[in-house]
Amino acid sequence: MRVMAAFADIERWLEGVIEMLDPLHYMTPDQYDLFWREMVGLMFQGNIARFFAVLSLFMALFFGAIKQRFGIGFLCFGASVMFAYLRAFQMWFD
Amino acid sequence: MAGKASASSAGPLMVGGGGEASPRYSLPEAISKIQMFSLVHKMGEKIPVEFLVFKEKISFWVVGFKGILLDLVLAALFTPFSLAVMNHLIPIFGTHDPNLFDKVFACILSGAYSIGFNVMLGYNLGTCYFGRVPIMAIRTMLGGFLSAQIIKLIILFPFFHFLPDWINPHNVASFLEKHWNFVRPFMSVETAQNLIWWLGDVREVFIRSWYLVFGMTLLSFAIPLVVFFVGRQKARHEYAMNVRYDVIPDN
Repeated sequence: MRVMAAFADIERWLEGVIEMLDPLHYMTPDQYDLFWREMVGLMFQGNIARFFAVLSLFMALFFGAIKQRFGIGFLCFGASVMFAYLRAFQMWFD
Repeated sequence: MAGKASASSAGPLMVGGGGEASPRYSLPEAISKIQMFSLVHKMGEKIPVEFLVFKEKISFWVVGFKGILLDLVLAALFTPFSLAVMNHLIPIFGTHDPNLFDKVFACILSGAYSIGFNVMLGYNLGTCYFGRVPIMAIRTMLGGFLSAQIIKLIILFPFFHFLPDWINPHNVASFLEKHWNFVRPFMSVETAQNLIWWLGDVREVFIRSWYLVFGMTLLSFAIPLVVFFVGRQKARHEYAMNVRYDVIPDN
């Protein structure tokens, strides 16, 4: 019986964890939307975006051209494009 | 007995895939092949020019040609972007008012693939530009690369010159009106009007984009030429040193 009770406790705890994974459980949809807009605004705008875009482009050239790891090179190039233009894409839909 | 006879009449052992039915090299394979030719040559062994048979030359040419085809798509997409950034039509890093750094970055991004491809060629093959067969293989590969660059410029010329006429506000408005049922879920009437005005402004950048692509192509092609020139001097010096100190025999 004790084992069954322990299992039931674990199941309840797990359900709680899974519920906590849903951000709409503890914030409104508007707050959630605002959170991601601010996150994109923070990461893909201004000097942070400039830094990561240059870093990604440098890594793209390093891995793609020097190390011949073309897959990683393309991924880094894509990341560089994203850091440069994703905010523009978001602004289009604002 | 028959085995012995065939082994004794097999002739000299040749390195490489000259006898393969149809060599189709990927870019890393072609680079490795040229590096191998160059290494053999630097060790003092002469490879006959005839070793590079016609189908191998074709394979090197195709590798160079295919390597740059993706640049056609990327140049067509990102060059107008970079010029639109400079004309304050598209925001970069979230700002419509780019500074010098942003403009230069947008420009580099539009030619990053082409520049990267040439840096890769120069880095890997710079010191291999020595000896008749490696030089012939590299030149064949660069020939394919140059052909692809010329075809890229030829395709992009009408594209960038006719696109401003195709996307004039009247055409875009009639297109949106005709397909409004499909477009309506993605944009409001106000957004559609903004799009028409924005495309009207963006038309300015297309013709200039071709000239920027042309300039970036010339710039990117200069990279391997410079690297090969410097690499050849280094390889000659290394070869001369090896001959002087009897590392390899003087042929």
